[in-house]
Amino acid sequence: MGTIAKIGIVSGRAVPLEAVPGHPGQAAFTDFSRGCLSRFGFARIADRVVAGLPLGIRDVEMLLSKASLPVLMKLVELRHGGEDCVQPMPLVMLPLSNWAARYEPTRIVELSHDLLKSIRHKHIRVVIDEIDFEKLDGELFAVLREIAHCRPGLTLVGPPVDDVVSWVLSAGSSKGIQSVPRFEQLLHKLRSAGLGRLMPSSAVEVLKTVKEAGFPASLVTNIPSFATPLELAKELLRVNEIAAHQPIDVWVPGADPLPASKRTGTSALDFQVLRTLAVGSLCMPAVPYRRASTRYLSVEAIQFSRHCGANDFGFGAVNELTARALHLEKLDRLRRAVGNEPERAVAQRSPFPLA
Amino acid sequence: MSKSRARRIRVGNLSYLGTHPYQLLRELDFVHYSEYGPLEAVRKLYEGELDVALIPASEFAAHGGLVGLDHGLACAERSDALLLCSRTPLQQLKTIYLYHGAAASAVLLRLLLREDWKICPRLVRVGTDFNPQQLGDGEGMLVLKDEIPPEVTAMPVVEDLVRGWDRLTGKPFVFLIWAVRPGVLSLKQHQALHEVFRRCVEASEEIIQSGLEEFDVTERAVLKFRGNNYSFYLDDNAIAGLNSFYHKAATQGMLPHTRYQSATFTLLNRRTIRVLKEPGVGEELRRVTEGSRLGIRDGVQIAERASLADLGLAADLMRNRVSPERTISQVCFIGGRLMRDTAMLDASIERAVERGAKQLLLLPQKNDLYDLEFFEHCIHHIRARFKVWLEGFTVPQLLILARNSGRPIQQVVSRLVTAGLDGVSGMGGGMLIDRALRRRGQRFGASEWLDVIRWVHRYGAKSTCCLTLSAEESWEERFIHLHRLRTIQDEDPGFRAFHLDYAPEWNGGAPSLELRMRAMMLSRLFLDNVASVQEIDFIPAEVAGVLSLSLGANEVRVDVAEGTGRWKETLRTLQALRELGMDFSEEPRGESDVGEVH
Repeated sequence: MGTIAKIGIVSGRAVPLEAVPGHPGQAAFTDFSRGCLSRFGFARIADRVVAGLPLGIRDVEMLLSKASLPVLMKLVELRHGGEDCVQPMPLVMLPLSNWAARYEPTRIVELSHDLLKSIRHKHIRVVIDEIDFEKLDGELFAVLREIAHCRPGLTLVGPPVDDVVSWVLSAGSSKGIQSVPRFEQLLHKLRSAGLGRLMPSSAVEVLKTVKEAGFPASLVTNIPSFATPLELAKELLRVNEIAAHQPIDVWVPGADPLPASKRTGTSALDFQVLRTLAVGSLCMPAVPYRRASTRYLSVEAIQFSRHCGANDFGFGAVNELTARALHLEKLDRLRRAVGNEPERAVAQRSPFPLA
Repeated sequence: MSKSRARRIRVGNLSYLGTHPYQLLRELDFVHYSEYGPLEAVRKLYEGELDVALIPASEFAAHGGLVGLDHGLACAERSDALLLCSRTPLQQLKTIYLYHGAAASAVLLRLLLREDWKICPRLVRVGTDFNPQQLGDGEGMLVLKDEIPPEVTAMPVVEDLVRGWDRLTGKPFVFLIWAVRPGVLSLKQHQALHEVFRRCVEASEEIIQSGLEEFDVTERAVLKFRGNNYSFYLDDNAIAGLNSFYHKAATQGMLPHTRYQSATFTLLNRRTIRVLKEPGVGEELRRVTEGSRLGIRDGVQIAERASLADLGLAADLMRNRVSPERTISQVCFIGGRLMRDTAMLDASIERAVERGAKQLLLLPQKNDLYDLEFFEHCIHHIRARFKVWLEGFTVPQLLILARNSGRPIQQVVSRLVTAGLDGVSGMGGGMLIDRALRRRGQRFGASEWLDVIRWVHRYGAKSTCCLTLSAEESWEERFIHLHRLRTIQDEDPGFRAFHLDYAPEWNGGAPSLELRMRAMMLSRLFLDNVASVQEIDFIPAEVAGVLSLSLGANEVRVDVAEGTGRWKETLRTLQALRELGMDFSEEPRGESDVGEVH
C-alpha cells in the first residue's frame, strides 16, 4: 500500500496538499471569483492564499484596511473551505470564593459534586471563579483536586493567564515575568491541583511558559489596542511567527467594550472582530484554532463567523450564573445558532483535543 | 393509459380567437381544460395551479425552467392584430399605454422602441376600459385586438409590431408557447397532446371560423389566419425567430439569457424530460455582474448552490455599479394620533427635521382608514410647511381606504398624490403569490396589489417594494415574486427602493442570519432595475444590519423620532463603520451631540 502525498508543488514551491487548487477540501476558485477579486484589487493576495504562501506585512495591512467583507469571506473560503469546526463546549462556573466564605471545604466539595454531576453533558469545562493563590498550598489545593476528579469528562479551568502574571508581579519582583521562578512554580502548582487549562492570555510572551507547564496556550488579541491597521498587522504576523516555534493552540480575536461615553452599537465591534478574524485566519497558518467567542461576539456574529475563518466556537454557559459572570452566551442558544448554519454541518470533535 | 387517467393534467389555454383551435385539448380524458388571460395563465403555471399552459414567450424565458411543446402562436411579416397607434408622430411619443395582458408584446415594443425607433417613452399599463380615442398629444397605445376597430386603423400613426420585428430580423415572431415543467407529463400524455396539437393545426381555420360569435368579431377577423402569416406549430424558422428575440432582449437586459428548450427531443430518446445542461454557478454569477438578467430557474440554482462568499462578491459588485457609496436616510414616523393634532404634528416634524430627517413616513391608524379628506388635509398641511419626502400608506391600507370611503382605488390614489404624497410603502406586498397572501390572511390577491402600485406609479408617486421571507415559501416562489416586481419596474420605474423583511410567524422568531443575507444578496442580483436596496431596521446591537451593508445593501434607514432611544447610538455606529472603511456618501450625523467615536 502506498503512502498519500501530504504536499504538492505550486509555482515551484512545496505547499500543503490542502492548499493545492482542486484538492477536495478546496473551495472553487472560478473565473468569476478570480475576476471579482481582481477587480477589487486582491488577485495577487488570492493567488498567494490559494497557493498556501505566507502573506507579507503590506498584504495583511491591506486586507485589514481595504478588503471588503465579501473579499475576506472569499479568501477565507479559498484557504479554509470545507474545514471542520469544533462545536461549542459546555462551561459552568463554580462560585468557589462565595462558598469558601460560608462553608467548610468538605461542604464545598459536596456542593461542587452535586452541581457537576447534575450536568448531563459528557464533557464539561468548569471555571473556578476566583482562586486565592496565597491559599493554594493549603486546603484549596485539596478542594480543587477533589473537584477535578469528581466526574469523568471534566476539565477545570483556572483564571486568565494575565491574572496569574499580575499576581506574581505584585508579589514582589521588579524583573520580567519570564525571570520569575514563582510564575513557573505557580503554573505547575495549578496543574497539579487538577486544572486542565487557563483562560486565554493577551500577552504572547508568557505562552511558552504556560505551554511548558502543561496548559494549552490560548491567546486573545484585543483589537482596539492597536491604533492602526499596520500595528495590528504586525501583531498578527508576530503571533504567527511565535506560533511557528512554540505552539499557540487557540487564537481569539476580541475587542473590549468601549467606555460608555464612546459606546457604539455592538454591531460595529462585531464587524471589526469578524474582519480581524478573517484576516488572522489567512495570515496565521501556524495557529490551528481560531475561536469566535461569545465573550466578544454576539450570537448572530458567531453564526456568521465560520465564513470569516472561525473553526472553534468556544464555550457556552450551562446556567444563567455562568452566563452573567463570564459574559458568555447560554450553551443551548449558541449551539442552536451555530447549528443553524445550513452550508456545512458542525463537526463534533470532543473531547477538545487540547485539554 | 391507465396511469394518465389516474392523474389528470391541468391545461390552461388563452381566451383569444387566435388560440381558439387549442380548445380541442378539452377532448382528452386526462385533461382538465380551462381558459384564462395571458398573465393569469402565467401566474397559474408558475404557482403550480396549472401543469401545462399557453404562455407568452417572454414569460417562458423569464422562468427558464420550463420546456416547450413546440406549439403556440407565431406570426410572420404582419399581424394585423398587434398595433401601436397614435395621433402623434412616433418620434414625439412621451407615453405609450399597454393593454392589460401585454407580456411578449411589451418586450417586443421595448425592443423596437430602443433598436428601431430610438425613442424612450414611458410605458403605462392600463385596464380594459381604456380605449385609443382617449389618447392625447404625445401619447400612443399598444393595441391587441382580434378585430382592429376602425378608429384605430384611422389614426395617423399605426405600426404593426410584427412588421417592425420582420424589418429587424426577417424572422417570425413567437407570441405564445405551450409550456410545461420538466417531468410533469408522462410519455403517453405527451404523445396524446401532440396528436391533438396536430389536429388543432389542421383544423385551425374551421375552429377559428366557428368562434366568430363567441368572440364577437366579424369575418374580417378570420382573414388574417387564412394566409401563411400565423402558425401554430413552431417550426425551425419560428424557433430561430424566437431565439433571435431572446438574444436581442437579453442583450438589452430585458430578459435573461436563454434559448428555447423543446421537450420533444427527449421523447425521441425516450428519456425523462429535462432541461439542457446549464452553465455553472460561477459562470451565471459572472454573467449577472456583467449586466445579464437573472432568470427564475437560474436564481433558484444560485440560491441553492452558490457559496455565501461568491454571492457576496457578486452583490457587492452590483452595489458598486449601482451606488458606489452607501447612503443614510434619516426618517421620522408619524403615527395616526399625531396626525390628528396639528400643533403637535408640526412640533414633532420640526424636531425631526432639526435632527436631519429628510423623509416622513405616515402610519395611519386602521380606525382612520375611511376618511380620505382627513388624509388629504393632513398631507397638504405637511407639504405646505416642510420640504421633506412624504411617504405613507401601504397598498392594503389604500385598498381599505378605498373600500371604506366608497371610492375607486384609482381615485383614492390620485387624490392622495395630488395632495402631496410622494410615495407609498411596499409593506404588505412582500410575497405576491396568491397562495401565500391567503395563508397570511390578506384579503387581496397579487394582481390587485400590482394594479394599485401601477396606479401609484402612473400618477407620478414612488413606492418601495420588499421580499418577506417566510419558512413556507420556496426559493422559486421568492423569485417569482421578485420577477413580478421587476416586470412592473421595467414598464414604469416607480420603485424607489427594495428591502427585506421576514414574516412574524417565522418558526423560532427569525430566519437564520445566513438565509437573510442570502435572500438580500439574491434580491440585489435579481432586481437589476431597482437602484436602492435598503436596510430598514438597523439595530446597533445586531450585526445583521452591518452585514447587509457589507453584502449588497446601499441605503440604511434611521428613525430619528423621539422615544425610539437608539438613533444616536445608530448614528455613532454608522460613524464607527465609516471609520472602519465603509463608504457613506455623507457624514452620518444628525446633531452635534452625537459624540465622537474612536
